[in-house]
Amino acid sequence: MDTVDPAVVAALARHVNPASAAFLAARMLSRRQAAGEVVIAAGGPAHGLFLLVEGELDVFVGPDGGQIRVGTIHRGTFFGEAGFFDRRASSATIRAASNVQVMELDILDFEDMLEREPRHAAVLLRVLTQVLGQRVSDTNHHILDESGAVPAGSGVLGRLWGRLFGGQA
Amino acid sequence: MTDSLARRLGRTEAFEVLPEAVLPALAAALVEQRLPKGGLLFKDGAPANHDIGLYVVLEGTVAVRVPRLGGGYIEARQVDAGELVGLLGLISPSARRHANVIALTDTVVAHMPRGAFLALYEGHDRLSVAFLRVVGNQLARDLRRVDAALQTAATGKRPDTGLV
Repeated sequence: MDTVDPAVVAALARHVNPASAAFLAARMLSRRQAAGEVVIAAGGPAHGLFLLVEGELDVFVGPDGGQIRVGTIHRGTFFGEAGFFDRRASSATIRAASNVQVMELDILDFEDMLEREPRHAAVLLRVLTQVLGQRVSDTNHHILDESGAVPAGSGVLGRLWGRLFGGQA
Repeated sequence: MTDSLARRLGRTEAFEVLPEAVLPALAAALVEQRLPKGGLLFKDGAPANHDIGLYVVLEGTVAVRVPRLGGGYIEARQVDAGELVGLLGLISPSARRHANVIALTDTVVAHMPRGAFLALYEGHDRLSVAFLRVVGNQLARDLRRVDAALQTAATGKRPDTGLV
């Protein structure tokens, strides 16, 4: 029988029902990284869905892997869900702001889950579409100027990135 | 009529991934609606109610106009035949509409009320998974558009890739 970390199950249970939390926890890989290490590199391939179980992550954008910190990801937050759906590369670099524990569900393992356990896959997809939908909703309001871009220096950028990642810039 | 709608759904980008056998049941849950050019499909700020849900554009094109800083609206995107609009109304029961959606041409849409969606997918996990992947892909596309604008503002350069 698989042994799963209760903290991981608890983090997942914030998002899905207990049975699905236990199922997913047993299929996600745990990764511990030290402060300063890169969790996701900008431009890298999308290969999984992530859940931050412990610690905090910083989000960077900009040239050469990102030099501008635009947000923080807090404990209990899913991230990487856009790439999980469309398989496109990340444009941001996610770096550990403290020692962190991150759980990863590999896309290939998820594809297997779709075939073998569609009930749990459906539960997870419902949550992820809600997470994505909330982010779209939060950022669709009042972000565009006449040209269709976010006005630099308008003060909205940090707040919006904070909303994007469930934290604060 | 339902068979005809089922065939049309099967030809849309949104639903072509679904098994043909489920399309009649899906079509039965949808309500066809016609809009003249300039007609308002839904309005920014409209509250959630039992009818909130998404729309499949079957014919024509609609514009999604979001509020802009300083007042007024700006056209964020156009949605053509075969695509979905109003996704947030389906997946978030407390959502308010966040844009005005207006027909740019004479348009035919099919409305899927949230309750009908939930009833249709209850107990049909594979169907649910297939449709949720369609929804997730479109939401990811929408979010990347916003992300590109944010990165442009942050760096002065438009990025080549999308969000994490």
